[in-house]
Amino acid sequence: MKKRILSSVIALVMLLSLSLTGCSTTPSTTPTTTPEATVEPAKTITIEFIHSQPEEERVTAIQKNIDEFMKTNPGIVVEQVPVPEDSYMTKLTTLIASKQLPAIMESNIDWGRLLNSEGVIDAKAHTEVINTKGKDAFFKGALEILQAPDSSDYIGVPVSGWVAGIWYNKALFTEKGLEAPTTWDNILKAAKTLNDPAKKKYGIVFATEESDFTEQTFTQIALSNNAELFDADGKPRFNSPEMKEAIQFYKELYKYSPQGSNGVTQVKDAFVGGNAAMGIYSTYIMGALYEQGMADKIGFAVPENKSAAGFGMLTTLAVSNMVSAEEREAAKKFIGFMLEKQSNIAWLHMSPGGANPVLKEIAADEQYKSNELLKAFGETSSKVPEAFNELKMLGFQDGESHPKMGNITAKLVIPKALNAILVQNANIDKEIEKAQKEMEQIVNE
Amino acid sequence: MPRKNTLKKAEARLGFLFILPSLILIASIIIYPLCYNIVLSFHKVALNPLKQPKFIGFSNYMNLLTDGDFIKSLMLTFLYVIITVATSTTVGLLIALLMNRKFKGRGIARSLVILPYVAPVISLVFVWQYMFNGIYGVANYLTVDKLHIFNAAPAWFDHPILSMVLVILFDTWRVFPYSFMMILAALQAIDGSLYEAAMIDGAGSWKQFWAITLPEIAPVLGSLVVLRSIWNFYKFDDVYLLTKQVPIMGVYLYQTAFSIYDFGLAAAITVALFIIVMTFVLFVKRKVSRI
Repeated sequence: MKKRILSSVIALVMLLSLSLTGCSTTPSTTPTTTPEATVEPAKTITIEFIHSQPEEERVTAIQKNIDEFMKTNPGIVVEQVPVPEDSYMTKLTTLIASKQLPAIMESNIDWGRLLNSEGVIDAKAHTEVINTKGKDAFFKGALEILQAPDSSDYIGVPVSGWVAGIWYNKALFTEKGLEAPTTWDNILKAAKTLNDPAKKKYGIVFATEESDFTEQTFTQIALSNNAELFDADGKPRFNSPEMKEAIQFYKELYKYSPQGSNGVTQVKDAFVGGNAAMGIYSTYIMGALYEQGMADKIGFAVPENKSAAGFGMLTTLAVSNMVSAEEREAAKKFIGFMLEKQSNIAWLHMSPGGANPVLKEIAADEQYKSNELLKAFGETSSKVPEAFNELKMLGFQDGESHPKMGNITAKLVIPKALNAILVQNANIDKEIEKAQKEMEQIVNE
Repeated sequence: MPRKNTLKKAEARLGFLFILPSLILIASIIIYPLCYNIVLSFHKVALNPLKQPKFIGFSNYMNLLTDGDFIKSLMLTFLYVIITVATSTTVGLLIALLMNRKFKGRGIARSLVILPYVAPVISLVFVWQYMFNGIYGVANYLTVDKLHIFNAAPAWFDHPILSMVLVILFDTWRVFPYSFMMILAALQAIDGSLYEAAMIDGAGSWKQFWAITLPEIAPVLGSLVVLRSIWNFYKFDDVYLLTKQVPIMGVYLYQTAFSIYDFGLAAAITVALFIIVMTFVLFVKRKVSRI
């Protein structure tokens, strides 16, 4: 009998402890009350900042900024959540689905468009931060391109940005008497002349894999041919003659490139390793070139056919709309802090050259320009931020972003078509029509 | 007699009380998600959880059954599972038979064999991608530059057939150590006197293998085939990281859920896969119970 009672008690305790553990949703933060502790402590707001900079030195640099912020804002605790870039959107998606989106998230134009169309960001909060800083403090193009398609608010607050273009080996161009690759003709001529696959030397290397990197690279080619993605009524026109011409040019260039699905690693390795005379890449390649002592041997050009296409991407900080009013205010304060001189320069110097200022005063600031890498690239690095004044992107026309562009980018419609045409050697017309239909379906959803 | 029955009932109640925590745990982490997934499969689910899912009946299932990509993915998955399970088990068996024999350095050799299985997938994928890189990969150096088998570096991970062959090779190479370890353990448990008796009866190595070794390790082989089939049916990581040309079911599912954000359709796919895998498991279970 005693045994039975004892066993029943054990079973009940096990059951209770399990259910109590399961019911606990948040760790207990209630301080142990002592007879002396009768005064209630000041309320502390804890917010999370999720970003895609998991490298140790970047995490340390961000933490320094956070510590600095918390010193001046004692009631706010900011916790960073670093996530590798490859799985960043998957992580965000999961957090959205579980209503656990952190108060602040690193974003960019593409992700911002998608998050905005899904209605999970607080665009008004972004506008309030931008207005507090003053719209004139930013490069004009940087703010215009972040305008939400459905309101006068912004899909994020820009903190830095990168510009893409053609990086080329100046010595090889001089040796063969080639002109800088600024026009389609010059690019093609240089690619043909400098291509020698038998010696593992290629004219050019660029993105061809099924990823947004390919869409970003192709954007520059398409826009330099005035190939817009939508007509005046917002209907897709991927099958326009200008777009087909741009795709044909992209395919022609592929003949002089390493074959296969090339992504970030392949493009960077081939160009920095000296296997390609030209590489289409963002300013993030500057770090690798500097480390190899190639800073003064490399030129940078923006392709031009019917017009010049300065393509780039803005890194933004966005506020989630799944947080409380207090957390929202704390998030706004932190983003405002990230736009201050010292913290913004610290953010930019995490990847000098790659991350460029979107604030005019920082671009001209001597402290910002004093970085060794930026000095090594000289004129190239000082010209880059100016590109944010005339930023171009697919889906951004007449000062407005198409509301479904984020979905088209997320579904990789353009990269899949380009990979099929270039790498799989599929029929160009069929693939263009297939992508066109898919875009129409997305727009009509 | 009635007292005995009451005692039995009380013991049964107590037993039930003991297993109740486990039952609650299983219900919360297996049964609830399973039921929730089935419910989701009948809805159009927005990425934003604040937007209510819309009930659409069997639409997701109808879309699935009429989607050529799903059928292609399913067929490709069957092919992938059959070949990888056969090759990894066979290679594992052969290596286990070899490693079961006494030779100098056997301990080190056994440790080396399991290396691919314990190394992180992402590092192995990078190694393979570098091995087959068009500019500096060792595979192209040998086949193009030295042996002149190809005129130019083949598109290893871009050609549908070549990439299928490579992901099968990768999986076989990565998971055969698991089969090897299981089979080796079973081989070591076989009573040595059986072989001695067989030798006295004049049975050669080949006969001994078919008459003693294989029947003795058959239950282990059966378990290996079932487990490996289930795991590979849901395979995603290494195939997705190596190539975009082999859209097996795990990849197709990931693209549906996280690339096109159709969670309702993704849920319908998992329900369909659950039915397929359960049918397979029940079929195998029935076969095994007959043995």
